Amino acid sequence: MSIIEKALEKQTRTTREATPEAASVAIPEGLDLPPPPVPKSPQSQPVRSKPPQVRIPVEKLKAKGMLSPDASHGQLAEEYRLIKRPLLMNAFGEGKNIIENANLILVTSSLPGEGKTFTTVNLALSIAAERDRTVLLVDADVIKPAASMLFGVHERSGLIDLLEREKTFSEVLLRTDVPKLSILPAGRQHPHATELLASEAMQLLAKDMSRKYPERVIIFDSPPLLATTQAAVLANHVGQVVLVVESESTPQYIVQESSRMLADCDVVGCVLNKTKQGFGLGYYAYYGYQYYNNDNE
Amino acid sequence: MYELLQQALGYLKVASRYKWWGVATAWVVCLAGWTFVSQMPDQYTAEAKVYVDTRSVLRPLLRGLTIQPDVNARVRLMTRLLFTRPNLEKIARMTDLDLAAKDDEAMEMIVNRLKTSLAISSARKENIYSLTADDPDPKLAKKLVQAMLTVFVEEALGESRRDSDNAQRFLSQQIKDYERRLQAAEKNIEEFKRKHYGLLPGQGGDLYEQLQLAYAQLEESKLVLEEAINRRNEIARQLEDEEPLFMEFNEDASLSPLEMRIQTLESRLDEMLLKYTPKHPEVIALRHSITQLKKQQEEMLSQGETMEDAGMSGAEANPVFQQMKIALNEAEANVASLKARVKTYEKKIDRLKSQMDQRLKVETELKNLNRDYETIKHNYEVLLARREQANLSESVEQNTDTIKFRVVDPPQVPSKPSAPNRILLSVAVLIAGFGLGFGLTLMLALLRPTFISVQQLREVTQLPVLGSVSMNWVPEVRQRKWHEFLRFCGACAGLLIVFALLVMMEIKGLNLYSIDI
Repeated sequence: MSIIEKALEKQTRTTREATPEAASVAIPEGLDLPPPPVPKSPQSQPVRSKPPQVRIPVEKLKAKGMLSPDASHGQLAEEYRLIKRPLLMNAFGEGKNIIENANLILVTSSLPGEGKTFTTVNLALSIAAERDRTVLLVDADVIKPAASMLFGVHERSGLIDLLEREKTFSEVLLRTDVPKLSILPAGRQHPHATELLASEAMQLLAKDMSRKYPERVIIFDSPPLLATTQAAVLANHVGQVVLVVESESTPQYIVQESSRMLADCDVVGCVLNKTKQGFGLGYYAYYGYQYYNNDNE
Repeated sequence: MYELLQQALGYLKVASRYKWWGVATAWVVCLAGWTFVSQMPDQYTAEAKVYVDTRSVLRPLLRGLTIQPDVNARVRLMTRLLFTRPNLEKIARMTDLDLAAKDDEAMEMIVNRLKTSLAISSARKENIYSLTADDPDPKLAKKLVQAMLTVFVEEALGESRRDSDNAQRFLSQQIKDYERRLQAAEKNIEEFKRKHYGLLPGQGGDLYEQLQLAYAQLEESKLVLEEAINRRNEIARQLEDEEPLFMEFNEDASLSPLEMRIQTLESRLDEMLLKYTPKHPEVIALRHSITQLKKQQEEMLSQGETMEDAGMSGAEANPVFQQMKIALNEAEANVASLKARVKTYEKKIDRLKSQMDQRLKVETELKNLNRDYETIKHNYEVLLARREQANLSESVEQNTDTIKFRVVDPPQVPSKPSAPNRILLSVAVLIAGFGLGFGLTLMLALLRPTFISVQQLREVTQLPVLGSVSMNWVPEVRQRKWHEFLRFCGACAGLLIVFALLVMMEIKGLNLYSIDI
């Protein structure tokens, strides 16, 4: 074993020792969140406590043109690498202006069909490839739980049940076969989903999740901003908001309306989705992508 | 430039979002337009060509003698005047159109319709006028042209006659007027002459010469007067000078004329006494006279004593003195008479002068009156001459027929409709439909802009852009797009097919209008 490996092992041992301390922190309201998972090093293969509950549907993802855990190159992967960088820097940055709940990221859009779920899942998979981070994908779109459906877990209990205190966190949290990725499904349909999401329970849950898992990025997939109020409510609980805008489709005034709705949020960033190769669009990136593509395919 | 191009292409891309709107608009517009075009009534145009011959042989011959009307201008005016109400009404009557008109309003409508459907056009150089009439009924169109032709010819010919008639009437009226004025002027002159008879020039001799003569006479008499005065003065002086001489001769038997008379009479008496007796009447008379004279003498002597100058009486006896006195008296008398004469002459001159003034005034006034008269007379004569000219012109026209009309192309019943050109209109409708559709999409794209690039997003929202994700062309999406494209093409093609069908039908002569009839 090289010196580096020795050092790494040492580090894992110290973090493991630190965890019992974290577990002893009192959690109010009884939402007993399990201890944070250990960030895994490439070499160590710790024994999992549970087997993965959800299998990532790689073929489906590939069919839909999304990122998949194994294919980490290509234009899409590069694009998301670009996108996640500022998010991660905000989430785990040090400095004077520490954003509250910065590791909570809400992905939303103005209108349906702009690509929220697409962006959420890809972002989750992309961040899951990070060395030092873990990702929790929360499907907060209770009405149309597309992310849950994608992963095949829309039948399971999820966020709503958690907020109703009917289930515990460890019961609803699902692990996937990508070690760093976990999923929290939407849960059952509820008539007062908005109220639930606006309740103090959600607020506390958000706060807890942010504090308890400082190394974890929690991505919320939400309904469209202008279709329902849930997203706006959720935006108040999270630290960063990603607004997905469909290129050449969403009218500008609608996006402006959305940005006005998100005016209270600390960090709002936009992602232009479904851009088409046009006259000079992606001019510079074209060569980059080609380079990668030719190399690896 | 690059940004502009990008922007334009961006708008086009966005416009493609609204393509269905555009297609729908195109369809609606095309269908509506084609239906309208189809049901437009056919218009038949009948045409006739007329050649107006305005050249005649007589014209250059009669130039200067007669007033040649500008025939070309007249014909041009005619074409404009043809569309006045009375003419149009005439045309309506000739073609039995007025049978349909029940009241004035309907007649008005018919007249207006005629106004729009009839036309006269002319080529500038050639005098060929083409009269056209449009109407849905081909036979009526031909009748209209016929009627128009008749009215045109009539009007053009009649117009000239009317013109010269008018001219003649005007001239006659003016001539009468002038005659009246002439007579009034003559009367004025007559009265004037009567009033100032004697003062008129030519009467009483030449006033100026008279005046000159009078002046000469005056001068002469003045001179003479001067002489006379001088002579008298001289004589008077001499008389005074003579006085001392007279004193010496005082002792002499200075006989005064009186004494001389007495002496003479006495001598006569003596002679008579020799002949006759003292009882003779002559002797008695003589004696009487002698006594009288003696009495006188005594009186004179007594008077003479009272007289201061004793030398006077003595001087009386002096014959030279007496003569001189006589001469002086004569001279005085002369002077007096000459003075009187001068005065008369002066008076005469004054009189002549005043007469002259009056004469001059009268002369001037007479001249004025004469001049007025002359002017009136002159105009009168001119008018008379013109009237003769007009008479001559009219007879020229009547006898030589200045305008000749020749129908080059008689009107015929048109077999094919002239308007509307349905095929052209259909094409126009098609283009309009596509244009409007495209325009609508563009407008919508402009009204609701979207985001094309990251820069745009950043600028508009003022939010940081994390990145852009390119479209993933999964096969499903591709297929969907492809199908959409096909549908769009199908819609456009459908429109074109309908257009083709329509054109074919139109060529065969089928359209809504023909079906309706």
